Amino acid sequence: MWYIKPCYFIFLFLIANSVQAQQKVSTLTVHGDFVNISLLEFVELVGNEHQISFYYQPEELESIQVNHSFKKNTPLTSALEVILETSNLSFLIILDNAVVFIPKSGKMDFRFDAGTNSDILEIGDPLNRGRTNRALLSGKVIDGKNGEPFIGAVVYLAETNEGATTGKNGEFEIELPVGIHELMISYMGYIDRYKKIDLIEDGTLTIELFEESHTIDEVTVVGQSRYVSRSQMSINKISSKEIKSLPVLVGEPDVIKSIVLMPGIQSVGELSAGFNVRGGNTDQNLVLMNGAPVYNTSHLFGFFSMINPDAISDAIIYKGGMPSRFGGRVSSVMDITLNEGNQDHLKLQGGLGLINSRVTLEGPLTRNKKITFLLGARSTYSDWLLKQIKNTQFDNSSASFYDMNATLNIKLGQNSTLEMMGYYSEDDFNFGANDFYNYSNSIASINWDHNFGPNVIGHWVITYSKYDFNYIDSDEFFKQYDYHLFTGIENVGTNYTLSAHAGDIYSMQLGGQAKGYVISPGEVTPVNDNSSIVNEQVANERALEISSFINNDFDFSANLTATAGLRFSNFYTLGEATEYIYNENQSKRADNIVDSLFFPKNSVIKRFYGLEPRLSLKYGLNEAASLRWSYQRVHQYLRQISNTSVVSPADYWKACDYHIDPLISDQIALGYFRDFKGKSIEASAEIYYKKLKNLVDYKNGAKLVMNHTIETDVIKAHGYAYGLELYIKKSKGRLNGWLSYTYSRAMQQTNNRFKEESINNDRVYPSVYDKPHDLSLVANYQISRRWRLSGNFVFFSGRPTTLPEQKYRYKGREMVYYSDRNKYRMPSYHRFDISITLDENLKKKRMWKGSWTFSIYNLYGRNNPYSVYFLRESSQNGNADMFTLFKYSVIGVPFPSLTYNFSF
Amino acid sequence: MRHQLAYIIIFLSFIACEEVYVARLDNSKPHLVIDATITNEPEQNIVNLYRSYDFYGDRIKNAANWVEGALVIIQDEFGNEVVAEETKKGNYWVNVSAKPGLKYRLIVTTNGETYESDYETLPDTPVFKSFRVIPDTIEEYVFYPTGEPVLQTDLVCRSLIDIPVKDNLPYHLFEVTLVLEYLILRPPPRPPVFLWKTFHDRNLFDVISLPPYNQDDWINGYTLCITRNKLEELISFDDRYRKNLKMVGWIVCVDHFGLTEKTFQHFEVLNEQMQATGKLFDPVYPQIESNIRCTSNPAKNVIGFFKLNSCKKRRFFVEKLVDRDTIVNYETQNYFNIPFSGELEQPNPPDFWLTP
Repeated sequence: MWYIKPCYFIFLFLIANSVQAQQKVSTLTVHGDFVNISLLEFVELVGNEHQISFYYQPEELESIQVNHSFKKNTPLTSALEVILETSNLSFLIILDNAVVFIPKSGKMDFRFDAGTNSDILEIGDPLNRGRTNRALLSGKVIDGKNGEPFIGAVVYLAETNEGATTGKNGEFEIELPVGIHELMISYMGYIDRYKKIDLIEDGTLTIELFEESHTIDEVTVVGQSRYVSRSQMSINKISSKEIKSLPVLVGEPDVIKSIVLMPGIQSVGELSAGFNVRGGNTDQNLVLMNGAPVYNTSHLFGFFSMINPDAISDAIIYKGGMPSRFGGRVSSVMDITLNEGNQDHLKLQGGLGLINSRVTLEGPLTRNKKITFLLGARSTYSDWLLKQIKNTQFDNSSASFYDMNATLNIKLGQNSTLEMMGYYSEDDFNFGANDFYNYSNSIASINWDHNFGPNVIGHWVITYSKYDFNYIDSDEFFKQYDYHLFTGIENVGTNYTLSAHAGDIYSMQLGGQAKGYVISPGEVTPVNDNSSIVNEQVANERALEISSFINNDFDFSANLTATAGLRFSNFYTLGEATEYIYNENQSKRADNIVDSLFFPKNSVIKRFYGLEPRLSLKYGLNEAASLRWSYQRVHQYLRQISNTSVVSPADYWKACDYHIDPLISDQIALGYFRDFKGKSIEASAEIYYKKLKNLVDYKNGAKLVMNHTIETDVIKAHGYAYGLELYIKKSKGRLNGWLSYTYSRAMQQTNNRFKEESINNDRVYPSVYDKPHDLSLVANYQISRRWRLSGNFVFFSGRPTTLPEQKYRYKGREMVYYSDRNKYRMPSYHRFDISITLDENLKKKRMWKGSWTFSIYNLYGRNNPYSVYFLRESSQNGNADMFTLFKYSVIGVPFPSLTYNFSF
Repeated sequence: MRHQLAYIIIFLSFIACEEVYVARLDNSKPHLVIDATITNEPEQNIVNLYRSYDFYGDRIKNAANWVEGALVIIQDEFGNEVVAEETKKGNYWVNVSAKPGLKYRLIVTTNGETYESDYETLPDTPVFKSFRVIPDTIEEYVFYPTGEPVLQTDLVCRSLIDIPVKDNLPYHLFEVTLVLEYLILRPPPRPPVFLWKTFHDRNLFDVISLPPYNQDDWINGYTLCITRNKLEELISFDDRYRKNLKMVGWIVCVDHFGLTEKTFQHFEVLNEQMQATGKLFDPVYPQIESNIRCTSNPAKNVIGFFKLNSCKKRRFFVEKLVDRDTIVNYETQNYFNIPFSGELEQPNPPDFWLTP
């Protein structure tokens, strides 16, 4: 409020202690070690030395400890920024000869008055002016409201087209020519800041940004630092704020359902968990949560993603030009960073929805705020939905899930940060008391960052991830036949990355990774004591993956940058296992086994290895436009075995083995990127071509569950994909959003000796993910300070399908004969969703903040095809007989929902 | 299991939508269908040859698309051949009594092309034991015209058997035909009217094998059939209003086949096709593979399967449920042919008639 400032000043001037001023504050420097003194003592020391005025309330400064060492010629303003970084105080410089300490919550834009030419901040000692041509400006971009750092904020100098993005703790570094510059500092959803600086020598700067409007508190805190090279292309980033602004089904923000609105990323199907990137299968996407791999990304079989939206800081997806530190999946890497906890105060937030609710608590654990935490949980009450259905099959049915996540962030001195993350989720479903499904994710990671010096950073990660799937088949009449089926995967891994920078012209990342896998393809056990079921287990698979990589970023000139990377991956399939040898002159079938090989425990069954070169080039055409090119090769050693067209939790993972070779992908991409209006609008066009070797498809009628010789049911295939992706995004202003369009094709072909291992007589056929046209339009409009309208429209081609072309009568029943595989295509999909959000309260001092979001999914109620299939229609005597084609829509009506989100 | 997964999101059913879809299908050439069954019982042997028709084609019109004049041969592992006789259009009968343990194959020559099956081995003759009947209650929702669901219970008789599933005969197929017997009783001297009506189950093929991961030698308590007891729900609308109707019971005619593993898998794939729901988590549709190939033109597709099944016919009587504690049932050696339906007004019941 406008009256806060004068009131506070009057108050200060009446009661504050003061020291008479003699010097300019902006020219003052401090140096030396200040240990275990209060800020009050510090200002008295400085004030006495330099004869400047400080205005403050003593009790406020007494509570702030100073434990800092300042090197020679550290500007006083920089020193104060460092000291006050984690406090609730800020400061204001009056007429360059007085410093006023004020509470952060009581100020708005005191520290820098944006856009005023008179406010030029000197960085460095004026006595050193002219000693260097360039200087390193480092600093931090934080939320002016709560002091939280921004990751991904942009600090940009338009006159030289140089810029930096904030990383860990909101920090940035940029080397600039000395002199007066106007910096633009921006972060999505926040008001751009323009700050004039007089850069004299190396120095630091803290910049506060404020929200465009005062909606619900957005939590954006520091996650694991992620280095993105300047030549990187084929990358999409979506922030927590963007995820939460999209209208979604049942009002639950969802990272995966948001990311499919980006170009080149397609949904598998309505309410399906998986996503396809550039024509790749869902198992070709590596999803990382704070560095730990996620093997199942869904709750309720695809209704929700498994990650609590309040816990997410942001998500980056790499579709091409993959950095060499990533590997193991050929289509994409989705790198999700979780919030690490509010540094300033305890905060509670959550949401109440129709089907589920969520809550998150975060804050500092210690008074010095060096340890922060975040705890989150979600649960559902979807059981009651089943109870509403009048059908005996549902009388004993239930469906539920919950998940919990926790992060703990510890600052170990000035140079190290330790972050620990844990996640657990569980889904239960039982159908009519006969079939019981349960699956769970257990994920943990430890991230340790250490600055060895100003230019060398080490990053060490230890990860653990486990996915278990359980199924109990229960028979009402034959209890002795009840059995329990288990499949799962367990993975422990570690990787270490060393990043080094040599100024602005070269940087390098070097590292190694090791992962161990234990995969359970299937195990059957009896359910009860009277069971006649015998224990049966498809032999567990063990594997070890060891990789090393190097990534080099070069700035050859102001216009030309390049990234050259190389990854060397090794995959060892380990015993104990029995591998069967098949008659080479016949198709692989169980009755064609001619021999077997036994491999003892932990012996190497087969080693796969390969070099994976990665290369990216960026050529700047002018200040706003660039051309980029990339090539990547990736080896994938794990697959998901599934013959469903969407992701099912029953799909199980399978490592390469004696018979199944790794999937190898080569991708080349070319893109044109252009910014408009000072980066407020960004646009891009990319084309790509991808070649896939050693794909897996399935024989007709393949049996995948509890298959001891899975190699007899799979078919080796090759494939290729190509496409054009167009994208334009407006990130500023009351109306913002993006439009993306993709034209792409994804084809496959078998080339095997035997007819039963051939699909469509070895002709090229579209993969099930081949959807040529994909359009997404996302728009958010801030109607007023409290009302916000959002909408998105999606359109994509129907996916290929196999339809019956012929009928025939067979033993009194009508049967069908199918077309070639994927010969036909389902009808196109399009949908429009809309939501409107009302913020309850905009007063900053009010602790409880809530918002209501009303959304309608599928506004015009289109019956979008989920699948096209046939059903036998019942004849009069009750016997099913004639086949009819049907189209099934999962959400065939406009689906409204109301959600209440809150923070405290 | 994957089929059951289809039900998982079924609670979406109140917001989901299913509608008839008319696809633009290409015109494709009809394929030859060979439906061949050879058994140890010559009267059960049959080789039917006909052609498939377009998915949207006229079923009635195409039902008579028989393939006449083909040369159909059954050849045993020693090279002995028996030529089939075309008893009517496209229906070929082979006078051979296959021997358990011996291998046989089918050779068909028509329109200048030759089709040959793999050799199959005839399994042992199947058996089952302990036919028994227990009362049971079935619950299901029926919908009133207003759309209101009402839970309805039905008292039925469940016929159970025990089946040996030993190493040499683990795969079984049952084809059960139920014949409803009922009477119109009239005061003397008018004779009663004997009425009967046949019910065929044309749903899934009733194939059974040892449940997976099981160590038993027997499948105990397998439901062979369920017989209902509410006569008014089983007979035609007109018959319901005839006076003095009395339900007698059911004749249960069982054709029990022993299958080879390949034939069993073939029926399982047929069942998968028939129970496909096409919804969430449905597997990609499997094309039904044949064990018959066109040897003269390998690119030519052929539909169907050569089934070499051992066979055993059995017949039982199950009384209408009167007393839950005593349901009269027995096995009979009376194998008279039974017309599909009919009524006879005569003092004595027809030859096939069974009584409690």
